[in-house]
Amino acid sequence: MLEVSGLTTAYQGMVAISDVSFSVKQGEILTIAGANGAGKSTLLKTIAGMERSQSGTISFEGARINGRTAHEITARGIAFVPENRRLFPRLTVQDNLSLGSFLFRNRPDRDAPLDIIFELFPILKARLNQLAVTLSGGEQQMLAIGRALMARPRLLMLDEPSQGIMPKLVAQIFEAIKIIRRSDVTILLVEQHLVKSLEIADSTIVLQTGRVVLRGSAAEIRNHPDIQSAYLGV
Amino acid sequence: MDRALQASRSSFAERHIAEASARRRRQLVAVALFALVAACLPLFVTDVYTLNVVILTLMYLALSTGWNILGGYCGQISLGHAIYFGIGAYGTVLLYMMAGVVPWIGLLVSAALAAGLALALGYFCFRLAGHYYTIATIVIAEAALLLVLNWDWTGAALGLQLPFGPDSWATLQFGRTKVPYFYFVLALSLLAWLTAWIIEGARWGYWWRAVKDDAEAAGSLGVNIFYSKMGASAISAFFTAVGGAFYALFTSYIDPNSVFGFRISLLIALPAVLGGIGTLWGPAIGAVLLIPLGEVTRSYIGGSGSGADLVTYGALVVMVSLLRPEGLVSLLHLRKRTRGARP
Repeated sequence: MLEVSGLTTAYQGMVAISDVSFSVKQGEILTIAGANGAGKSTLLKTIAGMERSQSGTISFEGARINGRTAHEITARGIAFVPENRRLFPRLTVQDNLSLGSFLFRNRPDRDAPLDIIFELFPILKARLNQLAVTLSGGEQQMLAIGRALMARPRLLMLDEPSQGIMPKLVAQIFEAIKIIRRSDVTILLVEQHLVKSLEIADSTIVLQTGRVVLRGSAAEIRNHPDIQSAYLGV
Repeated sequence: MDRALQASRSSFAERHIAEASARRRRQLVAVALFALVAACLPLFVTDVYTLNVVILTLMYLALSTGWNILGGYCGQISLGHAIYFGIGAYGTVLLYMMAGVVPWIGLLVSAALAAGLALALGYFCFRLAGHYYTIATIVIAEAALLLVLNWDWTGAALGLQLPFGPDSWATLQFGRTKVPYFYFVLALSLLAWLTAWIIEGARWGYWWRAVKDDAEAAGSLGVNIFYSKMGASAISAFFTAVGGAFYALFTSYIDPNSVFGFRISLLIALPAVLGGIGTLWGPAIGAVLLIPLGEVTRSYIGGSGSGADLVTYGALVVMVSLLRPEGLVSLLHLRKRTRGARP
């Protein structure tokens, strides 16, 4: 459903990702691993239309999407949960959620995902009238994921959902990702927490200084000797 | 996901929406009551000077509410709204004097013109972020002031005197009494408030607030950032120009400095800033406090209008930013917040 080929993005001449190619099938989880500065976030931002690519193509459900603006890409069914969540701190939880759904004209269309989101993250329901800034880090991450789901995406991209969150909530978020995937949503997951993300992923690519250095099924990567020594500390 | 989500019905969401719309209904009721009380004012206020102050207050209330649509909700701080005010004033007067167009139509035409100009300027200026945008608005308005000051066709520095005619609602000219102007400007401020009220509840309003808070995040949620700014700008300019047209009819004399000057830009923005930027009641509260205070200090202390009102405004801004940085409107929420804080 998503095919990326030969993708290169640079910031003012500095190449952040270079000749990246991969594809994901519908309903799969692809995790993107790599050290800090390897280009993981840039890759997601380029797909989301927040960064412009220099060359290569991104095609989503058969249509080329690179060169389109962020809001057009969202309207096509790709939702992005950016690093550090990027909530609207002075709006309520309810308003933050609503903002994900205004692509749709009708009220029932907009509100439909709410029940599922509250099932995934019951705490959001209790916090509905609070300002987003008053939530804990984990709750904010849940809100960011909920907000993205309000757009009813077919592809969900998560950038470091476990960053700065207490372990108990990390487990809950990973559980939620598994449940979301069951409803046929494709997921791209950028995650430092490699062990955890390999547990739920179908396939993996590993980036190093902007290039894909390893790719394979999650099991292959888990057992790969380089990964074992470099990331898993085995 | 799509199918699964479609199938689920959210009773919870429905109840929440019901609560929100009850709150919005209460706002409507409140404004209707205010309007009703205000509409009776001319029965008690017969003093021309006081009525004059009331009219100016309502005018700035409408203007600042219009400014707040762009500056408050969408976060694009303009300090050059005098350009739209001036276009409304000059457009209406010129159309009437040169082509005999009745002010009712003239003010709509010049307001549309101002909205069009806002879009044209926005096309370039909205590429600038934050303070750079604000500076651009100041510069453009000053350029417009200089242009009109030196343009013979617009009467240059001498300004334009509206030809006197008989009192009539058709030409919106009333020499004998100011009461009709009062009702006109009351209607205008109600219309501006109602527009802001509609925007608050509409998805456009949410989009604009998202653009204000974090434009990049808004984009990733499907918000067209550029169109949002353009839309807010056009609506804001429209109301500003109608206000300018009203001012011209009300004073029946305009010159470049009194309608294109920086002072006007400031007076349009200040009530919203003082009252609470990006809030429904902020501009109204700010105008009701600020304008009478300014008028009174100007006439009692200022003598020759030497700027005592500006000193008062300055002092107020300092006080509000020190004591209530969120604007005076935050005083209204004090009680509610303490109640909400309890678990």
